[in-house]
Amino acid sequence: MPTTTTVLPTLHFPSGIPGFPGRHEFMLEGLDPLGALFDLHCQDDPSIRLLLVPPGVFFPEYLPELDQASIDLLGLVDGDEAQILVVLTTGATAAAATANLLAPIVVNIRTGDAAQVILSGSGLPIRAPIAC
Amino acid sequence: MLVLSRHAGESVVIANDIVVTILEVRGDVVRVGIEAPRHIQVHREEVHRELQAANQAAAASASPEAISGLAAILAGAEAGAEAEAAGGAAVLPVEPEAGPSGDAH
Repeated sequence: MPTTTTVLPTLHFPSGIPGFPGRHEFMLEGLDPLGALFDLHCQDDPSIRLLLVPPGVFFPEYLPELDQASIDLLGLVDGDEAQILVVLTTGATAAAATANLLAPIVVNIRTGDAAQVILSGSGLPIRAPIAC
Repeated sequence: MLVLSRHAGESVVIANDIVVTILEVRGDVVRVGIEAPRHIQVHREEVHRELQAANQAAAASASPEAISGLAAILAGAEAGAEAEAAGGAAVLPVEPEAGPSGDAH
């Protein structure tokens, strides 16, 4: 029977993730039945764990534009291949969480390659409150 | 730290495949061009440092309480916006958890 927990293939981050040096392989796990909350974690180090959401739930206007270097890095040939997820940081309560809109996680869902892309010059916040 | 003097138009090569070129020097501003393999991400140091700190804070905040709290918020948000969500963010292809996963290829 399906459970509320789902597992995706390992994601490969060729450039790593800033703050977690030397880590390139991460597992992306769905945490809720709606497919709206994901856990990106490093199998070898349980302290490395990021909560991700598709941005549309909280930021329907958010449409990040990837630069050519990122498109090349991820081997994206079609916009439909790119899945955008944003990193959440919770505060004292979950409702006080912020999302990193400056540097989304971009996944090539065809290849499993992924990167945290800094949207240089976008002026987007690194800590955007999710509260409406 | 290795210190080199370069004129505008001159370069430094790092590890065979990274080339840093001084493009222009004007007052206390130096314009630098960097050519590197695509997997080498190049960023201003202060941005990279802030992102490192933000990611580490995000990892530290990812507690079971945070997950259940966020799941509750998302369930509420989804219920409220279900009709509009049809054309919203794409959902990753998800396969059910099936014990020890085999090789992807």
